[in-house]
Amino acid sequence: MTEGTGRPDARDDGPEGPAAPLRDLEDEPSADFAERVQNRIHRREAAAHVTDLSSGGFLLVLVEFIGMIAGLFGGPNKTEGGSH
Amino acid sequence: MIELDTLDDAALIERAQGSGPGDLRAFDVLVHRHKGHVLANCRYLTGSAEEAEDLAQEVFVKVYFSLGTFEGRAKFRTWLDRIKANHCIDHVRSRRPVRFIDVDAPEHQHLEALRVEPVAAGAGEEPAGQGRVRQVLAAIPETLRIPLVLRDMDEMSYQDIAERMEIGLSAVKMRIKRGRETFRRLYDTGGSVPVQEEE
Repeated sequence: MTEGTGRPDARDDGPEGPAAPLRDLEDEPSADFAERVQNRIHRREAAAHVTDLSSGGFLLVLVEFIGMIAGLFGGPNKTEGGSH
Repeated sequence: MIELDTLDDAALIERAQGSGPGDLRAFDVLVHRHKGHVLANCRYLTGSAEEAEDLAQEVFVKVYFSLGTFEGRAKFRTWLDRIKANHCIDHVRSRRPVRFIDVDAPEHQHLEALRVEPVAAGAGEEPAGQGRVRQVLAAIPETLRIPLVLRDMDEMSYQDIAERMEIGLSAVKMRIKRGRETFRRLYDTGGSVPVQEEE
């Protein structure tokens, strides 16, 4: 997300200028607004954590599998080398 | 122990960025400080009071997870407004197909979407202050209201608005001009201002 730097073309507003009453318009949110934001953040963090764990587990299984395959092809050579 | 409420946005951002996982105290102050503005913006960008609260919450969640990318080159409010505008416009686009048209073209003057409702019709007494602003905004058609809100509430540049709405720069300027004219006329008179009477 780029930040920008403000209002580079503020002078293009012309002599009439902006509709001033809009500038400070605010609505009153529900009483538990901030709490619900926090809950969403916590839920998303927890979900990300679970995803990390799952992908970590998958990676571990993959490494073990590759190791096993490598063992299948590499193992006999060692045995052959050892027997001669 | 410093009261977080007394810190400005930049100091709060710094603290939020340096907070450990799960520590939302500094960010929570930012939410309390800006929630009213974000909620009003979401409401008038989407035209839906029902969806606005959910969208505003999502905006703050996005802001939280993007804190690491905020470098402080712009004010926090400017950055927040940009995330909010993107989120709300994406929502409007996903809600239904939006086709931007030339509001000045004679063939479009009869369209229902460009009709400006009388804001005082049926009202027993004229509301004052922000209540009046809300009524006027709700009466302005979306095609004029969105660029007007992006410009005069969010202070986005014309260029940014053009890119975000995927329309030309001159079209953006024209819509904002007409949006302001419509807003002022409705705000001052409370009467109906048909779009075709503009210009």
